[in-house]
Amino acid sequence: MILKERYDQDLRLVSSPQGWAVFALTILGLVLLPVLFPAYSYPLALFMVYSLVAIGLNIVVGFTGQISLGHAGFFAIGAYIVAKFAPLISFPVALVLAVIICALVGYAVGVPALKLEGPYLAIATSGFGLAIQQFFANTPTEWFGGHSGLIVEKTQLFGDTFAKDSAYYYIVLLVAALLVFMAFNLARSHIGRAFVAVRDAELAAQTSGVNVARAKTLAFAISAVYAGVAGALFAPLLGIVSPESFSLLLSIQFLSMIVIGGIGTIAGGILGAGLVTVLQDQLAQAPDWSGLLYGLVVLVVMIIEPLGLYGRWLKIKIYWKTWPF
Amino acid sequence: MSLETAIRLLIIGIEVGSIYALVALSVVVLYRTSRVLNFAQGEFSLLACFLAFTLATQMGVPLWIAFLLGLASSAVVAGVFYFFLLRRAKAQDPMSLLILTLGFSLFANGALALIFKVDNKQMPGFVDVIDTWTIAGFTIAKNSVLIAISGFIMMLLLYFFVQKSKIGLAMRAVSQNPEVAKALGIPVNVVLISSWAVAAILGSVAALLLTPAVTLNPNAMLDPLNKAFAAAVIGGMTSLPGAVVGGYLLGIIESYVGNFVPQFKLALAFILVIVVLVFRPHGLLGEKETRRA
Repeated sequence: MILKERYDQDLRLVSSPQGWAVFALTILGLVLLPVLFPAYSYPLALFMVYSLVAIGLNIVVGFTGQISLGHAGFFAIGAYIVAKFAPLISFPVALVLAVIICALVGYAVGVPALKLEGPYLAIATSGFGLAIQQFFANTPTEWFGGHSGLIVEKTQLFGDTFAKDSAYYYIVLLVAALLVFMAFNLARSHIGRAFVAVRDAELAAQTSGVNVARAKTLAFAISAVYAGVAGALFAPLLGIVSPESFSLLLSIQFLSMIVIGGIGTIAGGILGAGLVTVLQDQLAQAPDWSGLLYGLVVLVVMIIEPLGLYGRWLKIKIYWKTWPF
Repeated sequence: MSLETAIRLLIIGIEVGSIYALVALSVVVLYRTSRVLNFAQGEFSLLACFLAFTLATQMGVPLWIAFLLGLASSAVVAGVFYFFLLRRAKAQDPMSLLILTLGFSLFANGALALIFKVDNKQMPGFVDVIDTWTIAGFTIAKNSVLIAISGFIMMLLLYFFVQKSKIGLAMRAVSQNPEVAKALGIPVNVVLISSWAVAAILGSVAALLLTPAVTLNPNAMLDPLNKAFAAAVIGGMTSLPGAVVGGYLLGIIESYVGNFVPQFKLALAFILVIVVLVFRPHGLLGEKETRRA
């Protein structure tokens, strides 16, 4: 890491002219791309949805060091709330409802998770994901459509103007941009630092005044909100929510995003989400190969570069900045 | 519920429970020695099944030889996976290793699906699945008896292997403290490779017993493995008897509950996990792992 000399350097989100250039180009690109290439609006929106999940998962796995194989569950809750309630109470209200419910459920999962670690936590969270999937599949059909799921009509939610992929894209962009900004802020706040302290040395964090139990449950709740909002944005995008799409495999796919991109960094999560979206898009023609390739990418990353793409990028950057030393 | 139904459900519970217990044992054997939660266990077992299936049905190899070759191949692949991939990974903390096995599971499952195709195959077994015995008015499927007895024999074999053999003793030493075991001259790598192989064989035996009764496809081990994880957690990840208790307990409870509310059979395992973990965070028979912070 490049040495920071003053506290206000640490406070800045974007610290260099190059950083501002990248930031401006990203915003400009994200705003303009769907106008120039309407065909890209669906994969781009999907990319942003995945980024939100990856950021959320990174908060609990990367920052706080607690594994979760159940994020498909939170994702499903967000998606189902929008699918079921958005036609009744409008989309923004349903989005807020999804945030509240996911925060509560995330907190509820976080409390028993306090006692668990390692394999116990992995299995308990994967069980949570499965239980949510079973809940939506097996409750009476009038509630959540049972095994066949629910149809989400974009025209009904947003009227004709926003129903197109390219228009709905901007709703996704707005929400995603806000949440990404909040995530960067969280990471450098005392809360984010407490998460990292809990991950690196729980006892030391405790002696320094971090409330470990609160940090862990809070991490789960925030993470659940990110996954839930992503699910809520995902439902209108896909047009249908059905229980079989929220399987353990989806949770594993979410985890593979942050592994590929970089565990413990927000940019890493976004990068991983981007790569997975591209892979998914390219593999749509050859679905037989998708599992094989996902697995291969995860294996290669874990064996060669455990910090993921972003970790590799940081190493290259530091190499150039400090060259020839 | 009549007595007859009660006994029938108990038999089904024991049959399913022995499958869960075997797979749970494979998970625990590995976790004890190498602290890795192995999500690729299902693929090791599937490899044995697919290979045995191909050898027996397409090349005319006698069934028991095909089964043995299947077991051997899965043991070898598990050993190779540990020695050449897992051991060389840069990050060696439990979470990274868990993710590595997840990655391998995706990769291997994709590879198996490409090589052996995804259609449902009818795995041959030693007894016909629909054959039954009638004892004192009760009808018992021959296959249930075969599964229950083979499961029990495997558990006995594992017990003697771990408790009486030299390599079993070394395994127990490594599971207690790898560094000290190494310092005392135990070849830790050999021990770890053999525990991967033993775990793969246990899981594969379960899969070879199970698949004739269901169908063989790349997703065949998904549900048993999930349940076995649940059983291992219920029993305690560090306890071999715990895995057996957890497996049978889960199988029997699931059999009775599934009879009344079949739609919540899947979630049941994890409700049990949560209930057990809330009261005993390290499982029924597991011990708390003490470590320095």
